[in-house]
Amino acid sequence: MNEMAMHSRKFSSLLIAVACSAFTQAARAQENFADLDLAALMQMDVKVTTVSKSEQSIYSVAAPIHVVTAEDIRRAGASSIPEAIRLAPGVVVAQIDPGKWIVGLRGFAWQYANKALILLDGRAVYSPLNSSVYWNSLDMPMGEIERIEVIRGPGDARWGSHAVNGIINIITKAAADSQGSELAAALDSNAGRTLTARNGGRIGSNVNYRAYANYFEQGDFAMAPARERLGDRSAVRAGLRLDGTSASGDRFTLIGELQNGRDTSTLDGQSFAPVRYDANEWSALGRWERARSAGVDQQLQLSFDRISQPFYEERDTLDFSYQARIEASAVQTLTFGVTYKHSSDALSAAIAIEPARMTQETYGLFAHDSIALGARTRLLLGSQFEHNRFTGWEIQPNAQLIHTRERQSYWASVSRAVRTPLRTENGFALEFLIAPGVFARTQGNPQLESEEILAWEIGARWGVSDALFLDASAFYNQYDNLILQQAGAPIFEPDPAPGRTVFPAIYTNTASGHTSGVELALKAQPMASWSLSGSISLFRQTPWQDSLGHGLVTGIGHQFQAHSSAQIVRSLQWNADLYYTGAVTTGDVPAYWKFDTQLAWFPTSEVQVAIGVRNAFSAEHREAGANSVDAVTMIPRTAYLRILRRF
Amino acid sequence: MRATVTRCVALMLFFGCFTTLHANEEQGSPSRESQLKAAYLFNFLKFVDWPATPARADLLVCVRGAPGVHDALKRSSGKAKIGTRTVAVRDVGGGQAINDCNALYVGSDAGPEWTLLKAEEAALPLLTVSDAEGFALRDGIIELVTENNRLRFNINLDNARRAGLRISAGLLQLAASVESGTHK
Repeated sequence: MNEMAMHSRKFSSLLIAVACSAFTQAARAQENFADLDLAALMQMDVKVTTVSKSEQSIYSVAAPIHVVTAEDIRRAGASSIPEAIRLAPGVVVAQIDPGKWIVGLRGFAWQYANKALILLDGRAVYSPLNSSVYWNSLDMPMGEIERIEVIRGPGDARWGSHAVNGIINIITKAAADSQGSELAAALDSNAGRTLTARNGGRIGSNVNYRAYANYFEQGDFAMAPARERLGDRSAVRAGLRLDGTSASGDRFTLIGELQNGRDTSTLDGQSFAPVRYDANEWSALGRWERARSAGVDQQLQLSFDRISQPFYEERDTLDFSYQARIEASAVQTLTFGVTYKHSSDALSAAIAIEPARMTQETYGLFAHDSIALGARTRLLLGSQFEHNRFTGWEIQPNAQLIHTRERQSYWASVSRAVRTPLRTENGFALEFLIAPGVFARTQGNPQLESEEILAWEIGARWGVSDALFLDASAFYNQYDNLILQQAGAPIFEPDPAPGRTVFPAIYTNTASGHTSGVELALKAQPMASWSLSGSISLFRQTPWQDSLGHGLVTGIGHQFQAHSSAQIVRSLQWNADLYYTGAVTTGDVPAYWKFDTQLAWFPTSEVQVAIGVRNAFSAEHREAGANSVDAVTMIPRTAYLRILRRF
Repeated sequence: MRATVTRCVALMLFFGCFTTLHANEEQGSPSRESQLKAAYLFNFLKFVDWPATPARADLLVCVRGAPGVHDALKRSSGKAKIGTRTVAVRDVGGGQAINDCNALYVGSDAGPEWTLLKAEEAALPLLTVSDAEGFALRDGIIELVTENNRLRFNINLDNARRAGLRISAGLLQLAASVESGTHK
């Protein structure tokens, strides 16, 4: 504690240097386009995407959006996707062990956070089993990522149920954007080693490609409180991407990835014995886009992916979506589309969920109308109509109003969204022996309805000057029908003799409550060579618990972060990132500060060298607690070295 | 804990004021779109040959009515070299002379009266570039078009010839369309 206080004092001047503002401006991303050639420039998006999938300037988005750019990721020294997501305001990211993370938005942050939708290139990557995102296998070389868009608040009206509290869309680089060859190596003080080779080029005059191969390994962290260390984890990954343009101007994209991962750093939640995960996984995605000047844009995407998580499940997912955008009249733009998902699983016997195999089909259609009310104000109305296996049709409407002025916008939005029941909640059948002849039983419920949310949001963006950008939003979410375990009356089961007593806990739609919060972000550039950004997220929730006292581990406190990037001399850059995470509301994870810093050296335009420290303030700290299902480890201070060479 | 948060808020407010004070002195970063347009413009310069005797040792890029593009050009002009020539940038939004410019970028937000080139301007050895709709169909040489959120460009070769410029085949290949013949 004393040591911590000393560190805090030592760093307080540093703290003042980095303390500042949050941001949200993709449009202001500090990318250096000047070094790119025309072929690369022609693959760059003019404006950022996602909120309604048609691309819009940030001022015209009626939702709190933040974009983490490739440059932000490099500066922060992030070595995994969750670390990069942590750079966005209002997101809760907590590391459980080297390969497992909690990623939540606006509360509900636990390991199986089920109210934030994670997309990779527009493809949903959570599992309908328990809404897990298998971060250990979702990882990829950070250099593949073009940007991560984080949208807080419901996105169900476009993306379907699950995007209740927000969307995180990870977008990889276009092939044309990463031409040439590159070799990158990294070492860290926690036995981490990665090596990535990448090559991009052209096939004929219309197709660009990129291929990469990557090897990665990482040592385990010490468990809290046992101090035990398990094995390491490693993975071999490869990926290929093709981007082409046809003679008629249609664009197509093909992305394929495969990986073989091994993880011995995890304890089985039941037996507390180390488990070795071997995951062979692959995915393929095809996309076709046609933009016509006559005011119709179309996009079609088809993807397949196989996840293989031995302790949990094997799952094959086929995902299809089509969308069209029509400028129907001078004042109206219509976007509509259809979605279809076919997901079939084979569950591990260890997790006791019935039936052990299931195919879930989800299909839906959505339509949005953007109506101009005068020159500066638009009304957006839309809804998703989606059918799922457990609850049938769900309607998820949304209305947004936005007023834009030069470098300013004000918006308000109201949405109804749902989170459909999961496989676990539907079919859990797990019994523990608690005393001779006495069992506790966790029981799924096929009669469950969807959780519902009514979300009210307001926000404003203000480009005060070329050097200062502010973004503020506030929300109030009313949740109903939340799914919790409810203890039932003990049952005596006479068969088989001599009989036994069972204490059942059944999933039911019992809880309701609300959350509210304020998120402030700013981005500033006091000097051409110095940029700052930061954010504050304040969060409140009504207390809720199930009758077992498990609670909905919504668990976040207030958060704060500040980032500084300074070009000290032409070839030397100093980056610093400071995070404060308030105590988790369940009380078992104390508040902590996290400070990362990096010195990056660019001796030539082909070489980058970076040295840095993550978690510099303390030798180790804990980020997860009761909100984790797996055993929690201490997150250590880690020093790293990275070298990148382009050819 | 509460005290810590309050301190952070105070710090942020303080730095907010601080940066606002600086805002007038230091240029902030132009929008992504402006940066892209500026980067295109730099690249175009590499593909153009001007008539034999250069009026100046450096290449002068003039900008009318697009402050974002001007700022973005200005930021990278120091580093950029086109062949052996350095690049200078001049804002001509206030009606400054453009006789010695090598390229002229005209912002579409400047209004139609600005994006229509005067006859004497179109006759100068000047690479004219604009994001104004129909620019390359009228008097301009290169028109930037946003298509499907990517920047594309159209080239009017006749207008380039009239200005005495030679545009190399490499650029023509990348163009979305190449016009020869003006449509007034």
